[in-house]
Amino acid sequence: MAHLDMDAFFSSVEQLTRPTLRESPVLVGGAGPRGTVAGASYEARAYGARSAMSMAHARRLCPVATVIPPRFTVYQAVSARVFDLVRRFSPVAEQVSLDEAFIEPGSLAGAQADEVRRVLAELRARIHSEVGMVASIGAGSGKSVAKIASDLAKPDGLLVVTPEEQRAVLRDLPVRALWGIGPVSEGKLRRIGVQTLGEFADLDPATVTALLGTAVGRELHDLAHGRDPRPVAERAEVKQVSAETTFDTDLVDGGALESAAVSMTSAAHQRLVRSHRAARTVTVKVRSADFATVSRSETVRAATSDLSSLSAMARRLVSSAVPPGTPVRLVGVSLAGLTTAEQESLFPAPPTAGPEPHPDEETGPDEATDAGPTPRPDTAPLPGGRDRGGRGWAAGDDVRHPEHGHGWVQGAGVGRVTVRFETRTTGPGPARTFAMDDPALRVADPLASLDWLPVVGRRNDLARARTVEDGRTPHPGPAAGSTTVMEWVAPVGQEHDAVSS
Amino acid sequence: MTAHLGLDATVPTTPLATRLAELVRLLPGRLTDPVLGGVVVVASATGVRVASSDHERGFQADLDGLVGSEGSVLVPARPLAETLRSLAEPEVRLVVEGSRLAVRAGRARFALPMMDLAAHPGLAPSPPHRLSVPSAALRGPLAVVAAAASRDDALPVFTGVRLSVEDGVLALLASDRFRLAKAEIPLPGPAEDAADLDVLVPAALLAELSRQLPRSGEVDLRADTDRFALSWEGTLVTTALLATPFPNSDRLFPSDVDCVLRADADELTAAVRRAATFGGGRGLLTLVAEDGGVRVLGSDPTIGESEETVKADVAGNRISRTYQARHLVDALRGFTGRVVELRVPAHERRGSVLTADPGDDGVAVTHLVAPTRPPSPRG
Repeated sequence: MAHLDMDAFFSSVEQLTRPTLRESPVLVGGAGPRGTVAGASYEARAYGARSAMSMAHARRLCPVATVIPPRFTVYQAVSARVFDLVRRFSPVAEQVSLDEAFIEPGSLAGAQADEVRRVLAELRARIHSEVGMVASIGAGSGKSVAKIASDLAKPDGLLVVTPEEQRAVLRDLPVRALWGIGPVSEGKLRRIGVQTLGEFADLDPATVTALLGTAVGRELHDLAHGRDPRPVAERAEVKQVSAETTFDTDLVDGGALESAAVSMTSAAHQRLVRSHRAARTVTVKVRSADFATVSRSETVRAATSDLSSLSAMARRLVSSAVPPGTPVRLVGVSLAGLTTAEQESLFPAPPTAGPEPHPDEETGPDEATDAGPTPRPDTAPLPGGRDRGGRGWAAGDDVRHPEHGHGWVQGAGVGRVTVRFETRTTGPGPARTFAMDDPALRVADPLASLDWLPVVGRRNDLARARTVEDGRTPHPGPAAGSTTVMEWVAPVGQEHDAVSS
Repeated sequence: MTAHLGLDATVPTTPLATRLAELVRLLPGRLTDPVLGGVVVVASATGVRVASSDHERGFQADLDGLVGSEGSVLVPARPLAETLRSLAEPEVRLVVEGSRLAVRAGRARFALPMMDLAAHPGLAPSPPHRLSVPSAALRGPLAVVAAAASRDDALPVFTGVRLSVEDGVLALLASDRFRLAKAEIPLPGPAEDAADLDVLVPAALLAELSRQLPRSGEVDLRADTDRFALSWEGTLVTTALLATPFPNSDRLFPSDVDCVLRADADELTAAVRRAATFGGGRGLLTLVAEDGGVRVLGSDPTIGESEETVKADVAGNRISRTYQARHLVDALRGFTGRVVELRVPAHERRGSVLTADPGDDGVAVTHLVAPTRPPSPRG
């Protein structure tokens, strides 16, 4: 069994699509005063910056880093390509998150360590040559050992732990290395003087269950001994989709709070639609300035994927969650009770209880996460300065210029904006400075920075093709109502053949 | 006028117990004011009346009785109804004794504390008579239509049954947005007073009344601009109307029918019920039109699959639609012992019609059931 983990995934994608950033410190995350780091490149980690750290802290540690707001659509597209390749290699794969999966290639069942090493090295090489990403892989007898091995293999490495080596490898690791032991369990263990997995494994089973609970304790103890019966299985269905945001400054106004809830709903709704689900339950989470967190939820009888119904529920819930005038620092919306069948309504959507969201308020939220074992940190500030209504550009925006092509905003201020024109395929490109209101600069699809050509092909839910504004695709776009599904699969530098749908 | 507290009447037990049980069923579930959980008992020269009101709903029933002394009292309704229900004696005597209303039956005495009658809202006046229909023709359709309404107060308009009269037909209509039921009851004679009747009445009350209505005789429908009432055999139930206009539903019925199925309603119901077990948490079933039959499919990853074919005449295209089993069962209930016709529109998002030829009483029942589909992005 093997565990594949992309190295510094978010920042690596940024370095892939923005070649100027290669081999330089990159911090991905909200740039605002309350932003957190969602990803740090290895160059930034050398300064001590880490994921989930506050952005302000990370910047103090690493003042030379380039800070970029996350672009989840691009990460998803890259992830989809990586795992498409992985699945061709190992049809039995369990994707844990955007950048991690367990795999069990049938050809490696009972194979010798050398053979395993050779095959997995080839997979790593192919991910690097075909997608341009670096994955570390660990292999072992069970999931926890494979996961630990991939951690040990990082960065850019491969570690195969044979059953004979297993005990020795686990022995000296801190207990936290084991999946399932978090700060609380670690604290309990430290109190009785247990710091390494070896010490943990040597504990009497009764002591472990007394300390950590019967079920969890026994399971963790087994894992520490390298006994791990869990099979690799495709992940169960999506249970919920959610989006949340921390504001740069607390919201006090009820109307602003409602529009924040509505925009979070629309972000979660995008995920909902993409996963071909309808939801019955809307839960709104509100964290006030004093960090008190309140959740309110509402469930309807018929699951719906209608944005206006879901938004109306979110708006109702958020206004009842906190007393008017409470300063609010975070709003999150999650959609649950997901079903694959949606009850059609005989009547048009019901009259909603409140004003429709103002079109200007449709600021795209920066984060939308599936619930999973590795929750993403809260990163995104509301994109206050990024209202791309032609009025302003902010660092990290994808732009297009009719002459220079696709680029990204490297810096903006005092009426000027500096754009670096480059994509994954161009190599480091030139920077040009424009007036902030230069009409030649247009908002571009972040996916264009990958410069992958759409090809009519297999369907993959993680990366549905979109029309790209890069002017390089002579593809007429599917006619309305047609069922063509496209995917980004053309290799690097290939002449883009006109693909008809 | 101060109430004369000397009430003393002797009443046959069974009718009183029955009326009190009906009264209790119409009381609000949660009382904002204990007075609203009381029953007003009035003894007068014409007999005994029991009545209740919670501002929204009112119930009153007149009973024959031997009145020894006239008077009015207010006592808690539920204990009185419970007491009457359990009595075996053919007659009971209700008599005020001090601050109690005593129920005397044989050698037993049950005494209930009297409440302040002046604090009770009293009964709203009955709205004017609009039309009369045979109770037997109204009971069944009322139950079927009221069951299609929503119980979710978030959208009040869908918690009501629309009653309207047009061209000598009384139409009942209700929907919870996902299915709709309509019954058309031909009126026996001209009903001038009913010409412009169009009211929206709380469905929960009508569902209860459909059980209380007698199996024979006439029912009077009464209504004005803000109240509705049904009265029969000395009983009068009034309610406040829902103050929202019902959305136009005419256009919901499909004009582009793609497939028509005719099957025995009982056979189809039984098959749907059996398949519902396999319909998963939400009880989704798929109906597939085939030559000479309709296939009923249930499938759930954790429960398994079911498949059953019911004999049917099939005309038009061979379609497949998924519905909530509950919606189908509710709709088919109105067609017991008859041939049901399912009309499926070409547009796969629109509702399908379930109907049957009108019965002997001329009552026509039609259901519209919206399908379920995999979610897809839209507008």
